[in-house]
Amino acid sequence: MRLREGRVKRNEKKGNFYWMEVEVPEIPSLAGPGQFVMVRGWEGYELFLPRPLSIAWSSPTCLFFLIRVKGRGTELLSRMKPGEKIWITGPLGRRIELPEKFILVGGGIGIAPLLFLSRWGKGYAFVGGKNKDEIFGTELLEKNGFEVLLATEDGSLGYKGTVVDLFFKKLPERLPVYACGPRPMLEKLQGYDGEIYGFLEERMGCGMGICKGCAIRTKGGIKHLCTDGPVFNLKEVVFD
Amino acid sequence: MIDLSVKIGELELKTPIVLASGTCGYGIELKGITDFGAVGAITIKGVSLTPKEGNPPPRIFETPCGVLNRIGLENPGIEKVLELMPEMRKPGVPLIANLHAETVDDFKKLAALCMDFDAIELNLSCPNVKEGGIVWGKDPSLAGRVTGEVRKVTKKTLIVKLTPNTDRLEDVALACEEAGADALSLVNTYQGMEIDLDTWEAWRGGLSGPAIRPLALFAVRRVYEKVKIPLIGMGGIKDENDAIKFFLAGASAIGLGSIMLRDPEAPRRVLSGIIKYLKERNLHGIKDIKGRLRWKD
Repeated sequence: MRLREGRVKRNEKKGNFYWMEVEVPEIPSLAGPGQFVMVRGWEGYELFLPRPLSIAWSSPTCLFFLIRVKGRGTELLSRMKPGEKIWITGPLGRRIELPEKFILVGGGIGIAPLLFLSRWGKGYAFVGGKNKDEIFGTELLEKNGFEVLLATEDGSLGYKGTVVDLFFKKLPERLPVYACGPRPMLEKLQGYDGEIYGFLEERMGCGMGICKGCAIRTKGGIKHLCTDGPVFNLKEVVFD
Repeated sequence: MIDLSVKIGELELKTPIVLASGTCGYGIELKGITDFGAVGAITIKGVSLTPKEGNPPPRIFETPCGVLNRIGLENPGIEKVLELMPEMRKPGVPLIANLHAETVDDFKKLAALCMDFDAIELNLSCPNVKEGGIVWGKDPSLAGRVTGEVRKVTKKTLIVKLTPNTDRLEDVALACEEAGADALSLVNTYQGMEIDLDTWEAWRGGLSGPAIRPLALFAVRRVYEKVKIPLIGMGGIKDENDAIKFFLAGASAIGLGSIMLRDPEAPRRVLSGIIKYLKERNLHGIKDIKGRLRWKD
């Protein structure tokens, strides 16, 4: 789990996201479902901290990231060109045990870690976004044996409405659910009458458990995203 | 032959690089990542007598060339931390217990419980709750009193970590020296704040990282010119150049803090750079550069 120097192989705009492939041969074989990495694409110190990114996919020598521009860090990452150096620490976080069959619920950029989960099972994938430019990865999900159900808030693709509405409407069978997306989405999903796990997000410092920066509230007290998560039993999470 | 060893009180450090409190956990988390052969001592995450939950999120903000944190001293309490001792010993590096308390009595109780550590560091950046809530380290007489009281209950090397958030830094340093501190570490974070542009919510926090390096360097020099005990200089050190500036300003050892969040392999990188700097100038150790800057103003 050392700091590794990798190289960007491709970085393509896909709708509102960027799909980045990074050659970093030491990491893919170690990465399991639910884990993330810390990524830094710059040598200067103005942006001081690395950024936590979900592992969206992997090949034997490469990691794939789905990036949405939110601040300066993700903006810099989105502008990286093939051949450029990038620094990665990982895999980090707790590896999760997946059942054979499960349901994925992804909102917007939240689809990123769920794509990786789809490698380890089969089931249903509810994929939603504001519009069709925020829908990504459906082919990959289908190839991995997931039936994909789409929702967009503007109706430009699939069901018109939120992915949570679609989920509660079309719930095919009671299976364990793995969700990732904005906080209000995860809050609504807490009402699911079954096993439900969510990828949480919080400002992070180190990603390794040394700074205690990425705290979240749970019924069992404060937990840390980087060492106890990033996947948590959603029923245990206390949203403020 | 280059001699990198440093003596801080009774503490013998093999290298002049100390991992600062709060940015290396208990050292355990860095197993397999950080090369402990480059580390002179580990200062563990600050511990209190009873567990502390810390602040609700958000706890950390990136700022230009720095980090603003409001972790809130989260820790499981001294009893649980002592249980980690066998694991904490594995890197084979001296361990410094960083202590924080709201009363003199609690500081004394904590210090007395730290028999298995190699040294004690008092964090004086928290408030004295029983007596008006003034931060210990802002006031020379308060800082001196707590240092003196702890001195009575322990023979361990006693380090006092100073806050820069006072206009009486040199007087506080002198008071701690007179009260029996073996060394001072400085600086802790500078107070700052952050605001959310969408919600207008605001938070106070402590600023660290390269942004504070010139401020921290100046603080170290000012204290060096007043006291005789060794200083562990820290504040925004990211590479060997920064480290050497702290030695030139008067530090006997340096602390790596925020840089550990970005580059947990920084100790080896910085140490190699220090050795290279000394070799190229035919110098033999930190003692050859310590405090040797020449003011030009």
